Formats: sequence, structure tokens, C-alpha cells
Amino acid sequence: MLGIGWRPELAWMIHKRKDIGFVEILAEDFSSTLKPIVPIKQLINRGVEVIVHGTTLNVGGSETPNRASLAHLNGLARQHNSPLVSEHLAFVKAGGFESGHLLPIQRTQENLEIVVENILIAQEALSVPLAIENIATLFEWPNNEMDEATFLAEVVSRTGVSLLLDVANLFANATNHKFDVDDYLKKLPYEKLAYVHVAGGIFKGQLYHDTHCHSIKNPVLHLLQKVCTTAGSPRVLLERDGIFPANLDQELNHELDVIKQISEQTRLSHAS
Amino acid sequence: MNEFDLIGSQFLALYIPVTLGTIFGAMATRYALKVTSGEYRDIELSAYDAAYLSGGDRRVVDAAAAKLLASDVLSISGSRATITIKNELPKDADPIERSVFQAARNHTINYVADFYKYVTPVSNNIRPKLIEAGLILSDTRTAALRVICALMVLGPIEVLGVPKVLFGMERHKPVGFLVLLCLVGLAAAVYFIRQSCVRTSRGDAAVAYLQEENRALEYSVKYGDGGSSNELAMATGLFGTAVLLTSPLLVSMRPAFAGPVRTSGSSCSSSSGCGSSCGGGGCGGGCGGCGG
Repeated sequence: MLGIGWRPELAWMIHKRKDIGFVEILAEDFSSTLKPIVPIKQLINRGVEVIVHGTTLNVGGSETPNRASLAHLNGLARQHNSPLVSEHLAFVKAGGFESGHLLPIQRTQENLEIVVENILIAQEALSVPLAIENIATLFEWPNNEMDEATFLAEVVSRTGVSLLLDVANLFANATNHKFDVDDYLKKLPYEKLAYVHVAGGIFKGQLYHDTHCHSIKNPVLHLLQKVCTTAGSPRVLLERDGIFPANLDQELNHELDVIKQISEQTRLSHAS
Repeated sequence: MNEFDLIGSQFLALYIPVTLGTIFGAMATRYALKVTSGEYRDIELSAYDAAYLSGGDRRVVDAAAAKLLASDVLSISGSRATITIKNELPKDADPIERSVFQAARNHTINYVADFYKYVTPVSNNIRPKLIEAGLILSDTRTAALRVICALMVLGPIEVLGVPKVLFGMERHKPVGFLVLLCLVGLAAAVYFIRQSCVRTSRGDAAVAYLQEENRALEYSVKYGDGGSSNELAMATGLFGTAVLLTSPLLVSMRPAFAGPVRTSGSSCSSSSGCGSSCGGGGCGGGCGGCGG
């Protein structure tokens, strides 16, 4: 199934594209006390699923998830008849300060316990399943006790939470922190894979930046193909969050076509 | 007893209800003339049909100007937002686009509003289709509506208001408040007499339907570029030039529409517009950040 992150700039393009099966809405941009806005309501009416995607739940923080944030996610999920809510495996606030960015968690046993506890609390409060997404980071904390894939797999295993695999984030981390993607992919629990994110980015010097504002690079598409082959054609969602030039529709439609083609090819090869 | 012998407060107790009653009566008559049977069918309407139905002649010109600017046929230059020809008009251009283009060629156009005086009325080709589809009142019905409603409202002024003002002045009584009430009635009469295009109830339904169908387009124009120049014309036609003023990608167009002359606003009708209920939609949601 093909998906795209719903943004007001892209509303008309999404409205016209009839093969979109699901969209994501950013939880922080919508009110959970108002009815769904008309363009989203129209998508729901034609059978498009709406996934609520949060960025500020802070499951990687030392504080337990905020009740108001959970109620907000719940309200949005109820309004939009969402099959699940997704969030990031990151910490975004501490001591009353918000970072404004998704920050990596130091992958220690102690932090694993905290994340597991936070996710269990969130799952308890949410009326729909929760999926957790791997994030892109430009730095790593020192003294990590395990690699990212192991940490992610451990979180999924101990909480039963679903997995949202962002292949662009995976590519960014593999490039910037120099680890083996195949090794990473081998450790993932695909039976818990809810869907996959793919997005564009740019290289700045030796670093890859997952900007969500540029076209998808070929290595990311190759990685998507690899994931689709391994996971058996999962749902894939394209994210575009910024830089909306004139005629962007053409670029995004092309990217969606490529994603669809990859998904179809892997589905057919699985079927045969 | 002669009503002109009534003292001020007694006369006003008679005059105010009569004035208000005739205004409401005229509105009810207007509504009754608007009512047509049947639901709105999905009649194929062009961006300019929709623009006329939503906001009248000026809205049509706004939509055409937006399309020509977006497709680089026209361009904007200078601090006074002078609109000049940049490229030739495509051969298959709509007659309305030709009129706007010719106006830009033959006249100095500062701001889109300047087109109005050279181009309007542009509805000669649009009205017959909309009348036939039952979306606007026919010319005869519109004329009847204008006369009947205006006469209804003018009645109390002629029969009661003006004579009482004259009597009052003759008797050196204060007549300021009564004059004010007469002016209110007169303003209502002017409103009815200026009705050049009245949507039927089916026309109201058509506008509501088209606005609902194109709500996603409204979002995309407000926050992005809204797709093709045809789609931009449709958005401007249905939602007014307000949608163009917020778009980050249409910044270059902004001075031309946000000129010193009043633009056709949102979906509320202007004096030359196709008057009816004031629709238009709010805008929720927001602009997305990076979701990781």
C-alpha cells in the first residue's frame, strides 16, 4: 500500500492521486477537539487510512510520557479512525526544556528499561496500537552498550510495540556512523513491521542529512527495495516536509510511482 | 385618527415595525424568487463559470488575471505592481483571458482591480449557461426581483417617512432619527436595486458543492502553489483572491491583488457579485515540520 505524509501544501496533489492508501498527519499540527478538516475527511470517506504521527511524546526521555500528549494522540486517532499511532524512538525534552529536535538515546541497558517502561505506559493509554520509528542522528552518545538495531529489536520484543522503519533514517545513520546496513536489517523483527518511511535528503560534505525537503537519493531507494524484499512488500509512506517549489507535484508523483513500482515488484516476486 | 398627527414616539412605534417588516418582506420575496426545484446536479462548470457564480464579474477577472500571471502570459513589475504582457496568449485561450490580455496590452494596468473598468461585464457568455442550468435567476426574474423588492422597501419611506419628515420640519419638531430610519430603508432599496446576478437555491448548492470538492485545492494554494494555472483560476474563482495572499509561492502576485483598490475578498459577494449566502471555509491544520 502506498502512502504519503499529508501536508497542506500537498493537499490537492494527494486529493488527485487515487492510489494513495494511507496518509500520515502530524499530531502536533492538528487539534484533537475539532473534527477532521475537510480534505482529510474526504480522504477518509474514500477509504484512505489516516495514521497519527507524533514527534513530542518523548519515549526516550527520563520522564514518563505526558498524559495530555497521550490524550491528544488518542483523540486524533479516534477522530480520524486511525489504525495506529506512530512516534519516534528519541528524546525531545527534559527538565521542562524542549529540544525542537529528535535526539538520539544513549543505548544502554538502563535507558532500555526507561524506554520500555515509557512505551508500556503509552500503549496502556492509547486505544490503538503504537509503532515506534528509528530516527536519523548526526551524532552518537559515547559508551553505547548495544547497536541501534539491537536496541530497537529489544524495545519491540519487550513491549510488543510495532515497528516503523524509516529507510532514509537508516541510510543516514549507516552513512554517518558507518555501520553495515545488512547487519542492521538482519536484526529487525519484521513480523512487527507496521510500515516503512522513505524521504529525501542531501549530502553535506561527508554527512548525509535526512531533510525531507529534497528528492530521494538512489541508495535510499535501493535500501527500500532491500527492505521490501525482506519484509514482503510492506506499506511504504513518502515524507515531504519542506521546500515546496512550483511543480513539486511532478517530482513527488514520480517518487510515488517509483516506490509503487518497487513495492509491486517485490510483491510479485514474493507471490511467485 | 391621522397617523401624521401622532407624536414622535407614537409615530416611530408604527414606522419602525413597518420599515423592518417591509425589509424582511423583501428578503422573503427575494428568497421565494430564488427557490428552484431539484438538487444541484454535477454540471460541468469551468473555472470562470464557478468564479461568476461565486463572486460575479470581478471574481471572473481576478481568476483570469491569476491564471495569466501564473502561466507567465502577464507579469508584474515595479512598486505600483504594473501588469504588462510577458508572453503571447495561447491560441486556445478563453475569451475572458483574451479580454484581460487585451486590456493589459491597450491600457496601463496598475493592480488587477484596474482590469475591472476595461473588462467588465465579462458575463455575457457565462450567464446563459448558468441560467439554463437553473443556477442563477433569468434576466426577467432578476429585473422583477429588483423592482418588487426595491418598491416594497421604498413604500413606507414614500408613504409615511418622507411626509412625516416634511410635517415635522414644518412644525419645527426634531426629525433627525426619522431621517436616519429613512436612510436605512433607502440603503436597503439600493441594495435590492443593485442585484445584477442572483443565485438560485440550486446555485447556492452548486457553490457549496464546488467549494467542498475543491477544499484540498484551497489548502494547496494557500500554503503552496496549488498546481496548474487552471487550478489556480478555479481556486481564485471559488475562494476569492484571499487564497492568493497567503501562498508563499505566489508572493510575486501579491502586490497585484493586494493593491489599493479593494479586492474581491473571500467568498462573500461584492456589490457586483452573484449575491447570496456568504459561504467560504475556515482553514485548520497547519504547516508540517520535519517528522524524523
